[in-house]
Amino acid sequence: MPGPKILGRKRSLSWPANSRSRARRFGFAILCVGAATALRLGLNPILGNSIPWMFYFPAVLLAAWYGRWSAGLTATGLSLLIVSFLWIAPQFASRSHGPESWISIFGFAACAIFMSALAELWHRAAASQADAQESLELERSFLDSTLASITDGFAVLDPDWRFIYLNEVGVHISRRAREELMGQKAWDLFPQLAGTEFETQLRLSRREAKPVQFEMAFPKIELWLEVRAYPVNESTALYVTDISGRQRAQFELARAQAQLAEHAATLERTVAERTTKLQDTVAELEKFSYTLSHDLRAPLRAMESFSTFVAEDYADKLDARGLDYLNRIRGAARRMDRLINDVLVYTRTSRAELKPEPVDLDQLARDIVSQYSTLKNSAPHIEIQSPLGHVLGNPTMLTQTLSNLLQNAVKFVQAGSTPDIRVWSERHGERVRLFVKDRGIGIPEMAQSKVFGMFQRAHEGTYEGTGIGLAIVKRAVERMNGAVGFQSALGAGSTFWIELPQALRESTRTER
Amino acid sequence: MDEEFPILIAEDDENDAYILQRGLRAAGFHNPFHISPDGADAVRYLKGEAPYADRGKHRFPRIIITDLKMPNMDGFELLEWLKEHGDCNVIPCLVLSSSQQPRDVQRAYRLGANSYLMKPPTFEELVEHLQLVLRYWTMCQKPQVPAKC
Repeated sequence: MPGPKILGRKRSLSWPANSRSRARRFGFAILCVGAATALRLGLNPILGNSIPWMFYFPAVLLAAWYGRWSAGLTATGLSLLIVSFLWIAPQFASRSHGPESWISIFGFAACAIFMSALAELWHRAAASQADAQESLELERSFLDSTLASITDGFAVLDPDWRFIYLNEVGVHISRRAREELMGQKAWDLFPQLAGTEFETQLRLSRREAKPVQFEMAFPKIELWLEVRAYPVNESTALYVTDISGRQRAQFELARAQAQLAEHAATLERTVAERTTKLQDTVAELEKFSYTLSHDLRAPLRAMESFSTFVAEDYADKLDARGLDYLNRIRGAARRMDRLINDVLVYTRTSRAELKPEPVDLDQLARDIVSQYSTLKNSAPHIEIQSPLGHVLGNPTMLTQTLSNLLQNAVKFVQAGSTPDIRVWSERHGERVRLFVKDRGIGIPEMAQSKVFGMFQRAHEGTYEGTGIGLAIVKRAVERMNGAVGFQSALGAGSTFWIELPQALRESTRTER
Repeated sequence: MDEEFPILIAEDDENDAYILQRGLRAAGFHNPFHISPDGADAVRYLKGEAPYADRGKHRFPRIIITDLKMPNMDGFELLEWLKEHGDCNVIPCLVLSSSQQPRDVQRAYRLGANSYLMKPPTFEELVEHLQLVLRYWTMCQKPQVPAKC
């Protein structure tokens, strides 16, 4: 793994090459030469003029060794001057040396320069070797710390698949000690990897000299690895990422999703079951309605009819009281029949399938007034203030609703007085409110909160009825997404209203 | 209505049968009539099977009045039978039922009922309705009826 080359501080046997050290080098050269001169002068009584260079060789060498090339040259120059001046004949004359003197001088100069050069070369070689060593060490430690600091595992396998390098994470992932791993063959250490994708991929990578990447799962120890192998010469660099966390998260996610799907399925099943149950209940209810309408009403018909036959056939044998009793039986039977009928209508209203369609309120009101016998027999005064407009609703339910309201308005009047009814409508935004106002007896305040309830009769006894009519109205209007309300005061009449969505296009009322 | 030809009534409820019978008389119809307690008996009567083989005694009806809910063969099945037996299906068939289920009404008409009347809750209304309906059918042209079918 190539890293940036970092140059460390150069260590050297000589002084660094700044101006201060240059002065020291020259000083050192002078010192060496001075010492050589002192020693030679000291030995002068013994040696005379012979062996004049004796101490100058070591001086130059010393200066060149410690003061480098420049100091060596300086020492050489100084030595030449002093020696030729002091010892080489003719003494104390700088010129007029004989040839043997020149040979001696040049010989020394050559030797001294050679020694200085050798010393310099030695220094340079040593310095460059130290540099190389240092930068190698730096690189190595940089690589080490880099590989140690990464959070993924890194290992190098030599051509024989032996571990020759592992970073700490790599050691951790292998679940072995470093000592067990290093230098050992991967396939010997981990025989369980033989024949797995790991081996196949690594061998493929090496054979085809291309990087490979794959994932390995060790479910027993809940370990998932992402492995990348890079062929490096004959070796293989392994880069291993522990993706157990990611896998666990994915696993958890998948499990959560599966659970969610299961819940959804359960919910769907429950809904289906309940729907079926509900449909069964509805079917039961329908059967019950049928039984109610058929079986329950037959005996009532018999009671009514046979009471009539007794009254007709045995009129001469019955007194007024007997006839009254028979009439009461007939009346009770009729009322019971009406009650059953109204309950059936209410039930049907509650569960009839509705498809809202535009309904012409004017036509609806006219039809009801002309068709319902109760609305004609009492010859009421019914004023319809056209146009009433068109609403979205169910024609059958609307007929039921408006006829119930009109019949109530006709029914609840002071005995003997003619019903006076006014029908009109108002636009309320996108809704139409239809009013039915009477000048009847009104509803006592006590009863007002209950008028829309089942079997609620505000004027018990005085007026015939089942107490279901307004409950049907409320249920029907609510089923059509409408609202219903009223205003009433005892003795001052009542105004009932129903509110339904306005139909935007013309009514396409179909005959039913 | 031609008094020679009877009315065939299919009605399982004895009370209702009696009330209907009396209603017909009260409405001014004195035709002979036969009351079948179920659809199967009505079919036997129409086919002239025993015990109705004697057509002199059991004349082919000019109108059928049937209830819907009956044992053995109900009103719907009788209507279906009539539909499948074109020879018999030449006289009006009137449903008189206490059911006001829209489904029942629709099914009866679909099976070829000529009228569908609710059994009225009072005898008075029954007489009124019978008068209207039977007078209407009296006014209508009558087809040739077969002896048997």
